Amino acid sequence: MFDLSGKTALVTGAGRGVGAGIARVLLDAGASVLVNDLLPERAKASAAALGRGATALAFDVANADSVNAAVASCATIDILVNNAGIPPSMRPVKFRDMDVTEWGPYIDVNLYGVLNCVKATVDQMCERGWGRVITISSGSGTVGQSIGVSLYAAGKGAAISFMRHLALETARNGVTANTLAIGMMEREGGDESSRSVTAKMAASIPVGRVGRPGDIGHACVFLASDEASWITGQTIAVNGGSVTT
Amino acid sequence: MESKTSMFDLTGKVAIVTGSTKGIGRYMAKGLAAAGASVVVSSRKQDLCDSVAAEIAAETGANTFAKACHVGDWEAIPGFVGAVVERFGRIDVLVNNAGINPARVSVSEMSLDFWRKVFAVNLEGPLRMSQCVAEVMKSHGGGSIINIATMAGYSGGSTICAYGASKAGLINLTKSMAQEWAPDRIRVNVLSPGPFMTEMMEGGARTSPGFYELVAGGTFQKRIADPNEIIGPVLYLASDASSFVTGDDLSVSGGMHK
Repeated sequence: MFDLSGKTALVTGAGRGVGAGIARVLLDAGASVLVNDLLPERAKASAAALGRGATALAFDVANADSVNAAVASCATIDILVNNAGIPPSMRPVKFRDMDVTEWGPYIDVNLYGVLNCVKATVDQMCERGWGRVITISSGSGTVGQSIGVSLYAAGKGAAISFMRHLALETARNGVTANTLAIGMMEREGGDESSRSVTAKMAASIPVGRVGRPGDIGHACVFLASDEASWITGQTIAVNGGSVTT
Repeated sequence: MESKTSMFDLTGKVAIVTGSTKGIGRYMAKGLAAAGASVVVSSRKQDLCDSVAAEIAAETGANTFAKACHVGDWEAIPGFVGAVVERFGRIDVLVNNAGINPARVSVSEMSLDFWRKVFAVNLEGPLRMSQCVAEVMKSHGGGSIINIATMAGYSGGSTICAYGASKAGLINLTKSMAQEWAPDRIRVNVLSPGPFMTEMMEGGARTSPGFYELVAGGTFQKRIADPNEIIGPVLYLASDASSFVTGDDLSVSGGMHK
């Protein structure tokens, strides 16, 4: 059960944080993991820290040519975890205060990053008759908020819609496509004030804590396993019970 | 059936599955037992509970307890839960799976008796069972409740209106339970199954031409699932692997639309 031995997973944005946590749990479940990050040194350091079964694979998810070249250099990718994303800035900005020149990265990474990585890997999954696409999105992709994250949420919401359609288009090929809508996550490091913000947010989450990388990793192992073969086109909220619908 | 990742392990846990002598309920009970849990097998008929509990014990080596209960009988449930606590001392997982859809009755033809009978089992049963089990879970630091709904709980449908409405109520009740009991470390989620090849489905496929294609056609994957495919989703929601997931509903349906 939940055994990923013999499978290879590509986890984007796995140089740190949630992505590195997802890679850790996939490795523990037996998969080999391609550890992607935008920065080669961060990908290498993360893969080295993850140890056996982890291989660094640096590229920019927003650049289709880089994605295609990197994927072409790999033998097989059975599981794609689209984790790379641009988070909302630490100082949230309301849409009216944003300049048009600031929009690009949120859509380029949070939507085009997903499209590029799926495009580069899904044909071989369909041809082999087995594949898993898991996209890490956000509760903000389906619910409005007044905290100044509109562009981030637009990219994340678009990815959720895309995944539903991808699921339908690949359902007969043994490929499942699902999304995790994650909530407030633990932040690495941070100063006193960001820790106190996190503590305040945790109090508003029904289970009383913020999310940990392992929470997202275990959901990925579950969805990637043969045991989840009847689950596709779904968005699972991994958010400690926060109401998002 | 050993898991590669220990977070999915249920060794030492106690699980109740209502309506577990046939259909997907029986597979869920078997899967929980294989993952290490002691399992309470329950449906209305004690002799059926006895035989299925013995079968699962023989197959998995797990402790099982056969205890009949009619979940539509509000007054009977505290005694049932008490018997489980007496036998195992704790309850970690409750799967509210028992449900009925006794006949196809349209909205126009609905009678109060029929409506109430369906709601008693499908909505009041899980309410009463969860109330009683939550008290036990609170006493030892939490647990996981899984309410089995159905895709009809989203879609509705003329002749399944009572069934669909009762399950839609269960989906909503799940969110209330999840919010109320989160401080007690009780997680509550929904599994909404699509079509599975159970005894009931096999009957339909045998007797009605075109039935398989019609049912399978409603899924993205254009097939009816093997009942074993319900096990992984139940283990995910029952185990610590999903410790940050509560108040959510997971469709296990080959991609049917919610």
